[in-house]
Amino acid sequence: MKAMRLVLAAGLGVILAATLRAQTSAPTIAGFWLVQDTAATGSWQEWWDNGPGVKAKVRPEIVKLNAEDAARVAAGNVVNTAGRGRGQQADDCANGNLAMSFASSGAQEIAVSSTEIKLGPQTVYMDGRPHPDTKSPAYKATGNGHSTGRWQGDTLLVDTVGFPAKMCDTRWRIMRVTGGGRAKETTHLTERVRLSDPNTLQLTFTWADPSIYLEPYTYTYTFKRIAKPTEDPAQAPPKREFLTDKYWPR
Amino acid sequence: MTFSIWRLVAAAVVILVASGTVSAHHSFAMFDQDKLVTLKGSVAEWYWINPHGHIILKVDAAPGVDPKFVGEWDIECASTSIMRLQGWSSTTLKPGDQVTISANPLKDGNKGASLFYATFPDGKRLYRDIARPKGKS
Repeated sequence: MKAMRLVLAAGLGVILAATLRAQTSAPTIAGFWLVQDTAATGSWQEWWDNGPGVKAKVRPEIVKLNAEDAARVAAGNVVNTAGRGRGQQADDCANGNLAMSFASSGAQEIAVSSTEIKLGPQTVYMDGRPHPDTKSPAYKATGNGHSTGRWQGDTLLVDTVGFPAKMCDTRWRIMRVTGGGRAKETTHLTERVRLSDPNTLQLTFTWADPSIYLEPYTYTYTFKRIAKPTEDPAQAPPKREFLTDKYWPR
Repeated sequence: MTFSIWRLVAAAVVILVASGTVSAHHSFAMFDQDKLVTLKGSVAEWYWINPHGHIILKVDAAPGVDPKFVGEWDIECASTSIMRLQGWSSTTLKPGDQVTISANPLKDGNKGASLFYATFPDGKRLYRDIARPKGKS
């Protein structure tokens, strides 16, 4: 009996030590993070259009698509008539945009649990599950795709597939990525997340899709840790009209 | 900050960014982004609202003021979550405040613009977004 207790205690001790090692070896990425405009472009739009200093090398047909979409927008096609923003989504198109979410200048929150990591807009499953069959009618694509992850030392590796074939946006039907890139159902995204110091987080994206890119498109966003943003709730929308109401519904 | 067993056990699943709304809010195609207008005036109204805040600015006729700029301007801002991180709040402006707005004007010629930054009488600047002019903090 005493021997059994000793064996049990030793076993629990081994499990506890292994768990503590796993926890303390994993960096603390949880918290609030603010993306840095490291290219110092002077405008969010320019930063988004040009990527953080790196433009995508895309196939000629994507160059043509980008030019056609830009020309239509320049000609006045600035209103999304697909109904997005009003809570409507058709069966054959999707909302959301992972690339744009991470480029957004709002704070990103990273939250960690035992089975998943909420990486800004992404849910990264850490429990070893495979990706679903993204070609199945049961799979509903969104602009965030489906993500699984694992730790490799101090780096979180994220693997994402399942982007939509078509967006619910009549201005840009194929999901846009920064720097002139695009993403669709054939696209594979890998991300590397690591702390370069306790208050600086590097997030490196690599978009791969031979039908879009001449070579995998890699760029890195730098985030600085911030305190949890204070609350200052938005006021109720007024009844008055604004000049830009015709461009997007409130 | 060290990882603890209890932090792993406690699931924190708050997501701050609503990715479904980002694309609409970051299309500035209706504004002339190659042009920057500078408007000095007084705040008529300040709306701390989503998806876009608005500053209603009254520009008075005065020596040196281009007559086409005189009148009431609708300055569109970013969402409260973005503006807040730049230092804006619901109390940053009130009717009657003097402010100088640097903004990209609407292409349709109406008196509307997308805020780049605001300059206050004490010289302080508040930007709409994280981007800064090259070489400036």
